[in-house]
Amino acid sequence: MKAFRDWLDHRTGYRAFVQDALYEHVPGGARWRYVWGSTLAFCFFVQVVTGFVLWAAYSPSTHTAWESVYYIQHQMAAGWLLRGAHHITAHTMVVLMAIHFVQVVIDGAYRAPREINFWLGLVLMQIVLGLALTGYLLPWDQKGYWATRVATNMIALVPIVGESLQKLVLGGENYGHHTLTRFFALHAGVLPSLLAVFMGLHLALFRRHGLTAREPKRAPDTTFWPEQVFRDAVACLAVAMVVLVLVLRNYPAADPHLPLASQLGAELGAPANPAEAYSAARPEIYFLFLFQSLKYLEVFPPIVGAIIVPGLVMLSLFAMPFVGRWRLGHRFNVVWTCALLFGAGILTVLAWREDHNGTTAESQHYLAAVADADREAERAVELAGSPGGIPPTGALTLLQSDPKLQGPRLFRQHCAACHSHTPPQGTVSGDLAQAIAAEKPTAANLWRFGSVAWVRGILDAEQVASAHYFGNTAFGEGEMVDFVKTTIGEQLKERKGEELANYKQAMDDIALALAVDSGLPLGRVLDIEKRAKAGRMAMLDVFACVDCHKVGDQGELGSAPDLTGYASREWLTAFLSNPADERFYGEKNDHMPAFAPHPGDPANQLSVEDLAILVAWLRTEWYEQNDANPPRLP
Amino acid sequence: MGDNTSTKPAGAERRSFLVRLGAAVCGGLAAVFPFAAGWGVATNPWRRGKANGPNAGGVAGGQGAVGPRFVRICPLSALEAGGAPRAFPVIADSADAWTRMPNQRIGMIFLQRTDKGGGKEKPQVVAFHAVCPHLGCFVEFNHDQQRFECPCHKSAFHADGTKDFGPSLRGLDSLVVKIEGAGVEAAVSVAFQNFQAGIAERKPVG
Repeated sequence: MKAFRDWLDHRTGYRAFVQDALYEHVPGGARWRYVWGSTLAFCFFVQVVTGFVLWAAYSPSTHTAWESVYYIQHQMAAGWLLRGAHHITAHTMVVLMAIHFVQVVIDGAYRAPREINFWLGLVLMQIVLGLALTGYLLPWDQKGYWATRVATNMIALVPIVGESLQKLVLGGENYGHHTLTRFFALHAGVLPSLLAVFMGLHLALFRRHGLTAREPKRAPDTTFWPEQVFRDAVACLAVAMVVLVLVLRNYPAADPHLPLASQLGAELGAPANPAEAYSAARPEIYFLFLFQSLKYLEVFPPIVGAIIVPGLVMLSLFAMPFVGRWRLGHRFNVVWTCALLFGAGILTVLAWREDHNGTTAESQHYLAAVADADREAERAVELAGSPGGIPPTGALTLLQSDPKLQGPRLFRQHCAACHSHTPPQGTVSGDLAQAIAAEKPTAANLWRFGSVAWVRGILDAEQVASAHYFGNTAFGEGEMVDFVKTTIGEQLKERKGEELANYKQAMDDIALALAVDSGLPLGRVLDIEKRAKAGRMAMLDVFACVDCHKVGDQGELGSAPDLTGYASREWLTAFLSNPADERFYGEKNDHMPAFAPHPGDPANQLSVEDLAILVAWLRTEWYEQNDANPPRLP
Repeated sequence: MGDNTSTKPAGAERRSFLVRLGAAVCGGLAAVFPFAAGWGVATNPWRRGKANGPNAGGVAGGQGAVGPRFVRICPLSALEAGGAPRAFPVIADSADAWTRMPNQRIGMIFLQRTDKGGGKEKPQVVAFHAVCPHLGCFVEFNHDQQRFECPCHKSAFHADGTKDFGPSLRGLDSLVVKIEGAGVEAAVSVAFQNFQAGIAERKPVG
């Protein structure tokens, strides 16, 4: 072994190198306060290692970025740990950088001959912030996408070259594949290389000038190994432990209804959607002070808050070595640093409070947007993990064609001016997140439209003319209401005992028959076929529905809506397309607009896709993870 | 700097040893941390049940189907009784990491109907994977020589799939064939799977 080491040393001179590295002079003895630089180097090491593994699983394009990150987070072994470690270490690095900087300023380590190393440190700070900014976009989720758009729009504010520069960064005029490839190249290639180079220079100069010893020296001079190495190692391990704890921070209070991987490590929002602004977009927490300062500087042209003020602040940091030469210069630098940090802290707190106080309209709006985004993110993960998986067009397609998410939006936009979609009073059924109340309902409540309960309600004299059904419409005193109130009402009064029971049973059976024929999910009903058959018969004889309605090949169109396949997918689609069609209300149609009167016409209010989504949503047909085939109403 | 003449006060030996040990242990643990965090993802391909590619199940979450699945290839009538082998694409839903793609070409196979036809015999169809078991090129059927030939390294196989000559260590990989339905409805399905190239034994991949 000795022979080998001699051989190696003769050819490489490694001994002198190791000596140099390990036995660096530490004046005044090893101290804990010297560990900060080492912890930063350690963080960079962690980022390089975890970053390379992430790189090996990440795919930068608008159709695959979110999807590959989802796959890392939710499908790959301990992917949440890897992403969490990378994400939290990035945050930790910013905090450590601030500590390191403050210490350097307080110790006056920027003074001659260390000015250049101080500037190298400031350059390193810029690179780290650049890494944070570029990394935020890579998952291509709503949060990162919309926050980064703000940052890249600021680039355009740079005088003269701004727009050209912005195009270079974005890889074109708009966000797209090349924005991701470029950000990724910056994040994983250019910036880390620069960081490595500048860190090398920073360390080389640090070695040249030696440690800035804290006076008074408490102990005799020593060497880097082992006393200072020990302290550095403990500090690095502590940093790693803090990162690990933060990755696992939600574990004790994890929601058992959500996948654990959604709650550990780094957050993953819903896939970026350029068509749907995310109003709760905020930068990473350490950029919040910049975000907040923009609000106060809005009286000036945007370039002031976005570029001039941060630029001047940065310049003041670069000028510290010169300022420090004056008699009170050092004190000024210390006070200025503390003031800047204090100001940034205050701004961060203000920004946080403004968003999270829950009392102002802005805050409520923000919190609602966050809750919305959380729901959407949850749903995106649920759908990505569904048997259908993610299509080649990406996860955004899944969200955009999901009735559970898009149904309420379409309903609010097109239907909720007249229709409510809320459970009848006094009943609790279904997912109340799907309930939408119209401000001034002027038409029927469509909650579980076509279900047994819904149809049964329309045959009830108490309900048929209520606001839940025809009460607010032109049909409030129409033939159907009259039939239910008079004809059915009289029968209910006249019939007694078994006759009455049979009559009521027939009404239940009619509701069931219609629900069966609509293909709605019914759950388990006893004697379902027999009862449906009885119901179909009752529509012909006892109740004579066919006097006005068409049912199958009985009855005729023209006086009332077709009951054939009532509330089925086909029926609803045709009805929403044109309720004034002969098959439905014809000329008696009240206020309901025709949403797609000319099939396939782009001028229709509802596209074919939107119509299908709305119909599926009204019929409560969407994927649920926990219950592939849930028993739903009668 | 650079001279190792650190003179330690006597009695500090023990403390010095502990400090060295502490430095090595803490430093080692800290250094291992990022590797430990990345281990699972880096070695994810080793884990079963997360199989990708044509042998993976169509279920997201990677519950990879164990064993091959039957894929419908063509109607029986597409194969001439006693005719030469014909190449067919294998079309099935494929799963590649996060992406699920319906109706993709997931491979090529050769089908040959070996019975005489005419309804007297039960129809017999043999299937070979079109991938050369040597190093994975696609073989072609040479009608003149009545043999399969690989264009890459000149392996050749008899029409029955056994090895003729060349560097391949085994014959063509045959696949299990199922004929479903009868008459004009009859269709050929094949249990499609991939095999490890370059070795003498047939070892399914995935």
